[in-house]
Amino acid sequence: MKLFVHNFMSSRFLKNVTVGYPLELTVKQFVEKDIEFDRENMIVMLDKIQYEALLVAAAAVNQSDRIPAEKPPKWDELSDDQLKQFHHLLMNIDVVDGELICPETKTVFPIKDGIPNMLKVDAEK
Amino acid sequence: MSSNGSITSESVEQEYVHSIYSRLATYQQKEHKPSSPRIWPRVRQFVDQQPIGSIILDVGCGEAKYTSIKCHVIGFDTCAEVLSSSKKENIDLCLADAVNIPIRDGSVDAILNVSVIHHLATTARRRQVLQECSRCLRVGGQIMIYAWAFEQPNGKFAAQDILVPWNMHETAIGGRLPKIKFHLNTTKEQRVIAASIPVNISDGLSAKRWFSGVLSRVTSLTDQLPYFSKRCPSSPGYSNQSTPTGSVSSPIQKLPSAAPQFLPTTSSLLSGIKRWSPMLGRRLATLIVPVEEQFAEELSQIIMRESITEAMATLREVTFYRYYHVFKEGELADLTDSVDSLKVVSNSLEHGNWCVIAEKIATNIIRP
Repeated sequence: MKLFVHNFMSSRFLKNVTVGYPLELTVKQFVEKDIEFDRENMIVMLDKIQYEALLVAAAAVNQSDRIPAEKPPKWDELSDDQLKQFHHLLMNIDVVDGELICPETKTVFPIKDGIPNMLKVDAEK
Repeated sequence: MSSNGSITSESVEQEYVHSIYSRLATYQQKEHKPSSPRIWPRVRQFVDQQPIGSIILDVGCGEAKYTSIKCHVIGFDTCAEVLSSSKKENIDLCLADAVNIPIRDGSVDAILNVSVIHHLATTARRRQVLQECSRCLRVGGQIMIYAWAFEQPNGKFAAQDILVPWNMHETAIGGRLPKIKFHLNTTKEQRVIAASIPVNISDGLSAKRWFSGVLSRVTSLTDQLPYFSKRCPSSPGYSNQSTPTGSVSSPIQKLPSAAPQFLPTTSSLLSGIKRWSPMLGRRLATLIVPVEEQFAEELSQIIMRESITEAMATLREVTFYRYYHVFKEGELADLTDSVDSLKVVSNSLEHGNWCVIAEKIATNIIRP
């Protein structure tokens, strides 16, 4: 699971959950891949990103220092080098083993072999 | 297994969709590597025309056929076996259910819903899938829906809710196996249509239905002699659905199992209770035999049944069944339009499938 996926995930489908976002993330193992950087593509993605959730994800892999604590006002004003830091977090880091946790009910969704299990039947067992 | 050709929506999806896809996935790994899944050109085109950097959800992605270099595809499926054999670059995979999509509201640019909605057994659940998709889409984002059509180029199905055979083996023609082209090879298509079995979907397991189920199982005890031959779907019990009998003493029609069962299931009142409530069944059974013995017996039965099925599948001697709801003209578009905030943009028939593209429109309801 690339870290950008975490930014879109929510546990709102669970019973008695109102927001379910952002999911807490614990990472036991991740790999760093080398996905090609594309400035335009990255800016489009960053426009869709919720910054608070990105901070959660960055902290989960101990790489908070790569990005500013506050959301930059304009993405297209960033240099390639700055954007590459975001690209590295969102696209290159692939979580192999870990957990996604619902912020409200603390339901645990395991990530195994890079695939998170978000099935409601498994979660509510 | 059920009686009277009738089955609940829950169990039909569990047995004839989820479990059977898991099983088929393990065979496909062994038998058909590398698999060459059907790519629908219109779906490929829909993916390719999304702007750079778009987030695309593939709901029920199966083998993750539709990837993209310039966009970001997240593929969902309920089947772990299919997903783990489908890992590739340019797509992120996730185990998730189409009726409970784990994505925040209004966050994605496009959604694929290809050959998914025809596996859901009630209108309410089919609409729920589209509602979930709509919730995840941003305003202006589009969804492409593909579902199998009732109206086929070379024939019609006997009903809209059907079990469709999936044969491991193909009949050789002139010593050569025919190419598997499901919707283009009319011979196979006609065979499939002719061999599909209508089912009645009921809305839940009421006590009354369960009891009549138990009664009919007891009545049919005489048929349930142990045997090692496969159940034949073309036997009269399955095909005479339209025979007018008009009386309660009509012959009991049984649905074939999704995967064949070569050993009969013990047909007793106890196993009927167990199916209805496993806990209660076991507790009652402990009055007769100790609990360890019960579990041992259950386990050995399951192992025997499974291993014979496995062996026969290896010999390509078996038929599997999958559940489909096939859509009549206009039905898929109407269902889509019935969802708040979805508006149908186009509707067409493509190789025996209805293909609907819909767009999310702004509504006055503002979600918190």
